[in-house]
Amino acid sequence: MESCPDQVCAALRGLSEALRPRARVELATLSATFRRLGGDVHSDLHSGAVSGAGVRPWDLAYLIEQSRASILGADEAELSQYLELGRCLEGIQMVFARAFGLQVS
Amino acid sequence: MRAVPGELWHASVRKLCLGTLPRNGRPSTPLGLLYLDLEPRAGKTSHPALYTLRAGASAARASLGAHDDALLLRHLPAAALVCDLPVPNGAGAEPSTGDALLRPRMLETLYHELGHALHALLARTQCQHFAGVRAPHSNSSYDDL
Repeated sequence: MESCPDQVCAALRGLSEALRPRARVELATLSATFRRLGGDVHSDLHSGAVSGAGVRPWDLAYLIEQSRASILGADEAELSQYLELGRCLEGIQMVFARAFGLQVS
Repeated sequence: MRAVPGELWHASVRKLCLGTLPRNGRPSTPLGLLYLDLEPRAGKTSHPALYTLRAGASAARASLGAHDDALLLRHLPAAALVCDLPVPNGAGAEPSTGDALLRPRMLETLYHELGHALHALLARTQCQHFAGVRAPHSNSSYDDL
């Protein structure tokens, strides 16, 4: 349990470092979507964009949506046959147990 | 976890107890109660949300005369996770399983709200009005893990 600001900052920085490699992979995906939709990857030379990919903070929600659609295809509903509510709750309980030492009963 | 008569506000509501994993022969310590109210029904909000029913603040040290943190009395927090997931056997569900099938976006919403639930049930504070997700919104962003 975090008890002082230094610990909170250390936890957040640790999280940031641990997530960076995967975030870079996602950023590459979003950047590819950005280019496919006609975005200018060099436009960020003039203003603060997300690390050189041409993607700006306000583009994220739209690009995530577009990337998701192109990866999953037209029929997202197809996936729901694998996402039974009971199974999904079991899955998150495994995460709670492994990551936080918690049980749900 | 079993509910007492009259505790649940609808037959579809589930009561769960969040606790520590049993370790080295020690039993689980209860940390909080979570009610799952996931199905749509007439008159219910369709907006997914996590409501604190009882905040998990500890009684103030001064009021107890306690000098040891372990002696602080903590209210067992309780929260309600309210969602608008499809009912079992609704459109697209397999009749044989009787369990709701989620679209990816619904799963994200459910897990997002469970993040708030963890925050509400695990937070440690002596300040009733800042317990768990009862804080300014900027403070409740960190729990979206």
